[in-house]
Amino acid sequence: MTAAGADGRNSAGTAAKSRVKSIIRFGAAGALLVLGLLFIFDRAFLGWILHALFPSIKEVVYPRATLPQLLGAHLVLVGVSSVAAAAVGIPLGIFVTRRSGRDFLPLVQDLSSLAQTFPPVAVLALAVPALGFGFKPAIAALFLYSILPVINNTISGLRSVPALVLDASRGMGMTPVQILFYSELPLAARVIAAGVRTSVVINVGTATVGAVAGAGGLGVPIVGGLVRDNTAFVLEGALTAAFLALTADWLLSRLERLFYAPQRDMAHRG
Amino acid sequence: MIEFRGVSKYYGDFRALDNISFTVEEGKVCVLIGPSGCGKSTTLRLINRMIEPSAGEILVDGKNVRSVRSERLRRGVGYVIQNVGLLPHMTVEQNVSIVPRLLGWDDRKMHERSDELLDLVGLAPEQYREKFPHQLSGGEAQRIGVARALAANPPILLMDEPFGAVDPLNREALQGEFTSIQRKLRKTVVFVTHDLDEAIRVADSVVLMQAGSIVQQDTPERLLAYPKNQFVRDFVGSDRALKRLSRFIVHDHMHTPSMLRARQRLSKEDIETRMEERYFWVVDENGYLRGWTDLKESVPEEEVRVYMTQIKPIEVGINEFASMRDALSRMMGQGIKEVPVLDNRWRMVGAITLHDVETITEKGDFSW
Repeated sequence: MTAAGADGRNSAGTAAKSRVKSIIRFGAAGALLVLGLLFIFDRAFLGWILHALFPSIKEVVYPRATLPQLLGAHLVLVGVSSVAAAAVGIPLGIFVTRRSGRDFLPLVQDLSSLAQTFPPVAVLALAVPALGFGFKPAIAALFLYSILPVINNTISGLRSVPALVLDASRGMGMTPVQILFYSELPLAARVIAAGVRTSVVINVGTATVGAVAGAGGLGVPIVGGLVRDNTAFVLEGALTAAFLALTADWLLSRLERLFYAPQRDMAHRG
Repeated sequence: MIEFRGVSKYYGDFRALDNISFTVEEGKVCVLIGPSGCGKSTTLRLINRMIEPSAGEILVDGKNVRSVRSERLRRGVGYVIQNVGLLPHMTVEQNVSIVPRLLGWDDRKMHERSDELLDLVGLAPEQYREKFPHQLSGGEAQRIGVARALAANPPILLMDEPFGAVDPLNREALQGEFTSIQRKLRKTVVFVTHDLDEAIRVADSVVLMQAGSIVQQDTPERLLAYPKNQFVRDFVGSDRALKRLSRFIVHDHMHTPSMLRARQRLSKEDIETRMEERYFWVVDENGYLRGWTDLKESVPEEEVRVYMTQIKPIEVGINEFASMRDALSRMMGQGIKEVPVLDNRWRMVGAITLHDVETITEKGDFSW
């Protein structure tokens, strides 16, 4: 499951084996990282690779913007929409699991699933007349598209907190707010963070569609390449987006590990 | 003192509790017992307002519990539940310090209190403080649960099947420790269990419940001796005399044993004067039980350990806070007439004989 699978319980043999595995994995990740960074930041390397792949195409590197520029715009799109999805989705998930908000639970779940069934392009098409061309409709589409995993994970994370823990917390004299912050959120944090990670990874891919509405980002060379029938442009944008998605996924799953993970415990098997 | 006055609890048409009244004396252990669904847990949870009554009132020291904000009330009442409910993302020390933290104690005071409590429940602070709940055994987790409930030194302790989830051997040890802690602290305890032996063992008074009503409230002795009706008779069973033995703690009935030291040397005269007692337990210089010896086989002027028979204290001995019933079953199990009594550190502090058991059964103030 993780690169560092060698913990104390393993016997010496499996520990050695998993150390070898983790070295290989670490090496592969490192190589990928170097290649990806060269691809993005070294225009000569980029041209050389794309030219090698598509010898028949004359202009292989997208000319109107550099990859770092496109990547920057893409990051802003993903960042703003993901932060918005988390900022709305987590409190909403908390609200519908409270006594006072329980009535809204089915409604919120239905709405967020509905939002994800809409293709982002359709949302863009609907949002452009209302919000104009550019950044705003793209953010709206991404926000709607990525809020579902955040809400769902917040709800299931909070629900996974054992009733026993809640009973003990209440019995010790915690107020509902204290129970939320001392017991529920720390125990649900990892699941919630996984929801945020999913939402970010979805957004990295989906944000390429934003180019259609003129929002910029890595979708620009993809759309440009499709229009001009230049596969090299498409690949330039697509490979970078894939690299970004992998990196984001890896970084965020590292962050998740800072939170409490349920343990197989001997003491409380009831 | 806790007082229930005409308390009822309805869930729709279902009467979970039907007009119950009883009191729990200060510093005493009151055990609520009965078949499952009889309302014993509900009764307990009414005291710290985890549940609110449909009718009647509950008074703590003469004050209605509803006159205090529920969170404040609960911080002043220790609460131990089955399966412990330790917060899994917190260390032992953090768990024990939850209520003190809610009450705004400073860090040093919390730390000192936590160590003090771990000592009290018999877990070395330096070894357990930083552990997480999943690293504890069932018995250890339960001890932490008790320590946590005692953290802010509440006068009242509510225990809902506190030892229900641990194996029988551990449960006996926990009951013994609970008894010894309660002797020191004298809390007002309400204790829910469905295990009659446990009730008989820890209770000052027993409230036997059935279908939301109290059938009989009495001392364990009287409950066993004078069951009020057929239900109680069936509940206490036919082995009442044996059950009664659970009431008595070994510590209170043990006598000073005949002991020799492993490195002691006895002269011929020594042996002759002691021959009447003949059998002796042998302890080492630190007081740990090592074996026994029969002076008939003794060798004058040799160290006692040369002719002693080695034993495993854990198989033969019994803890000083175990019950006389445990002592009796140990005698039966090992086929011995005298059981060595050990303290919590396994040092020999006394002995119990079959005769001591008989003295108790003879002393009953009623016929069986």
